[in-house]
Amino acid sequence: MTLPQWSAAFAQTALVAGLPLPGPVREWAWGAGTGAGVKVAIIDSGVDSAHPLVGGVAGSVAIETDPSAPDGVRYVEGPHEDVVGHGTACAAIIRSLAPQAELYSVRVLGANLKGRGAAFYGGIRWAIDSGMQVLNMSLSSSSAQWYSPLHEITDEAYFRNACLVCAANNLPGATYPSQFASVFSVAARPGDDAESISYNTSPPVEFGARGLDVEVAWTGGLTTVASGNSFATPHVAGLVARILGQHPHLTPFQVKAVLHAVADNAVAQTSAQSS
Amino acid sequence: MTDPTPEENLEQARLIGRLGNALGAATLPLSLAEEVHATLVAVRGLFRAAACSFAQVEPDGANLRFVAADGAGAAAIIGVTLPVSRGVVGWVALSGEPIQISDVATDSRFARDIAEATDYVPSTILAAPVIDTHGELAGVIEVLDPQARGTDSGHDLAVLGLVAAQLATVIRLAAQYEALGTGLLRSLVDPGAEGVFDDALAALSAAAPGAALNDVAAAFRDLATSDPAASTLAARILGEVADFARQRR
Repeated sequence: MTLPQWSAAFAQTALVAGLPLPGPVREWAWGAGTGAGVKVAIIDSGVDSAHPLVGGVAGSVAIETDPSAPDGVRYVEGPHEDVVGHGTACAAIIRSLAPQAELYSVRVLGANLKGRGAAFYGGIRWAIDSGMQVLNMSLSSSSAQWYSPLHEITDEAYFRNACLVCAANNLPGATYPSQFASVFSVAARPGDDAESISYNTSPPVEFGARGLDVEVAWTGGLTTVASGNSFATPHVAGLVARILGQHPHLTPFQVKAVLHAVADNAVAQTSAQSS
Repeated sequence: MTDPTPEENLEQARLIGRLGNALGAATLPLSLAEEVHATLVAVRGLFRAAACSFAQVEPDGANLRFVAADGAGAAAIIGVTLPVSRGVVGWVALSGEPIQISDVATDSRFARDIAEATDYVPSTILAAPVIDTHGELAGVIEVLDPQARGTDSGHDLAVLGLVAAQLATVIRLAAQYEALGTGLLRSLVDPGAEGVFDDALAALSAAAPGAALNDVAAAFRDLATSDPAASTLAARILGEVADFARQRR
């Protein structure tokens, strides 16, 4: 039996030839950047903006199922709570890496499992149309019904310069949108360095980041220790926000190339190697 | 002898389907609840955990119901229903992502939720979604206080992810057994699942006689698996019924 992608992917990471960025590469990529001026959407269960580790949000919208609406959902802007704490944990990780990024809570998870696909779609739609530059999705769907619509909207996000950072799922079988080539697919890997990432040479999972035994924000203003791809994803989203803060004109494929170049297993490609 | 009418053909199909469904129910090696429980016992042993449980998504999509459990608090938790917006199982159900949480007891809300349901408050929880063949969430498997751990938390979640996939297969196979006749007819007569035949098959599940037949079949299965003497009795009854039916024709 084959272990799921995320577990085996980073056990023996092969070297990759990264772009020869001016060194030190992390300094060039994000340096002391804070993510200032970058809009980050946390598409999740809501965000507890009062949590001390979140430090407030710039805006909030809840995507709610509404069969009478054209998209099957309605967009309810205004403050809301985090129904289970998942989004708050992700927001706090992004804040820890990009302290001046503008965080937006896009709540797509509610009190019912029905309509998740439509809400995911609506959340990405709202984020693209609202000019979000980084979209954090620490959630996934395996629904065959939503393969095509999610594929279409993730492509749209890519062409409109929105970096969609998605959690891979460590279950056998395909999950969306993490499976799509246009997104930044992330899995957890061992290690304590929040700014350290790996590039996986056996996609569809492309990036590995800190996500095991991480202290995360929890309900009630508390923290707890948790593991999962859910927590690796906002680490990459936070780094993407800092990269865009330093280099605002980069496109998603350029940002991917930067992450690829700063990966622990990247070796700067020289002209001799490339010839 | 005249050819059967379309209505008579449909009635024949319904009868064959019901018999097939009853045959599946009668020959199912273990009931779904027994299969799931056996899996949970194995998982609990694998992790040397205090408890292991499976919560199934209710048809309304708003609640999860614990249908099987093993270990501490097992008797108390079976049958408990929680909204999907509460607890670690709700977190996993909504996000679709496996997780491990430590220090659960430090959060009074989560601790209370779990304690109310299980009479046992763990410090560590491993949980993973169980996805059905259509990619929809079937439920959540949860392991409380695992003692046998892998090299890191990622390994433990990977192992639980594999178990969740196997559990999904068990659930799928049980469903196929219970719709054996329907599935056989569809694959033989209407592999594309189109047209009027599908309507006839759809009527099977709603037909009261079919449901009654399934109950009888399930009773025979229980009888046949209880002990050797009862198994002999079940076989004898079925033989007598078959002889009687042949004499009536």
